[in-house]
Amino acid sequence: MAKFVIRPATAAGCSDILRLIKELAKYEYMEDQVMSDYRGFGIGSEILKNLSQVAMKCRCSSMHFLVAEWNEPSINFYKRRGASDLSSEEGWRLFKIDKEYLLKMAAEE
Amino acid sequence: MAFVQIRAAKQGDCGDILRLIRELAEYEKLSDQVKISEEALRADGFGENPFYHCLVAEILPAPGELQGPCIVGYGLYYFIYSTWKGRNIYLEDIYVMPEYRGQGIGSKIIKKVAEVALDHGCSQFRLAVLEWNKRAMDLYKTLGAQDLTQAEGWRAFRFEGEAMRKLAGR
Repeated sequence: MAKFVIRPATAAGCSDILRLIKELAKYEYMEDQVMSDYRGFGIGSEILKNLSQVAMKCRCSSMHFLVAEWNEPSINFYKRRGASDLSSEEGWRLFKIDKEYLLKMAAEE
Repeated sequence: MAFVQIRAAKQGDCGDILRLIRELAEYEKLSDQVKISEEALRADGFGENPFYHCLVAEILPAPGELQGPCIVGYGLYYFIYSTWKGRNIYLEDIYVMPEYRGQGIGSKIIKKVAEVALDHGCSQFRLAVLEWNKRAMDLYKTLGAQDLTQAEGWRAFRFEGEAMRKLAGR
């Protein structure tokens, strides 16, 4: 397996980023149909390590993120590394308010 | 009769904001998690690159009333990014003191956040609610919010402390 490097993205990388965003979205809705040749090599761990280092450097006390409840491989990956599931442990639910409702609210007087 | 205004917080409001942060944590039964100091709030919210923005709900006394203005609620938010939808806001905290609830102050704060979101080209804003906080959930749903944890199965995860240091290799 070739060596890999984790580095900050540049503006030129945006088309690749968009390609990967779409692949991730596809994974999140059609998990079994998305094959990846690059899993299992520690790339995810290395990205997470990089992110934690950024967090420590910027004096952040924690990292928060979302995981889909059916995504067992990811849940295990994060829990093995010491992450807490705040939704299960403390009962947090994520809500969103979409643009049509933002417009409604802003229009009221 | 007193009047409530929702305005952007100033550096000098940090003492009041910290007081309300503690009250909110108490309400959420998670008081022991509050480690922030007034200095950190000032530095992080009012420096060159703010980590958050804050709105405060201030009661302005009617003419003739003796007591000064008083901060009775707040909404603290920051900009985030959705790789699916683009610019977004996360409303980290919203709180109104118990004796001032039921007057629409919470709704006013949320509406102000909605305006900020639209002014900055955001297509959405997000917030978290504790599953037992029915009163808050009802308010947000009335204003058009949807429960993504229930509807799509999203769970909030966190790395902190020792676990985060280990990840960073320290």
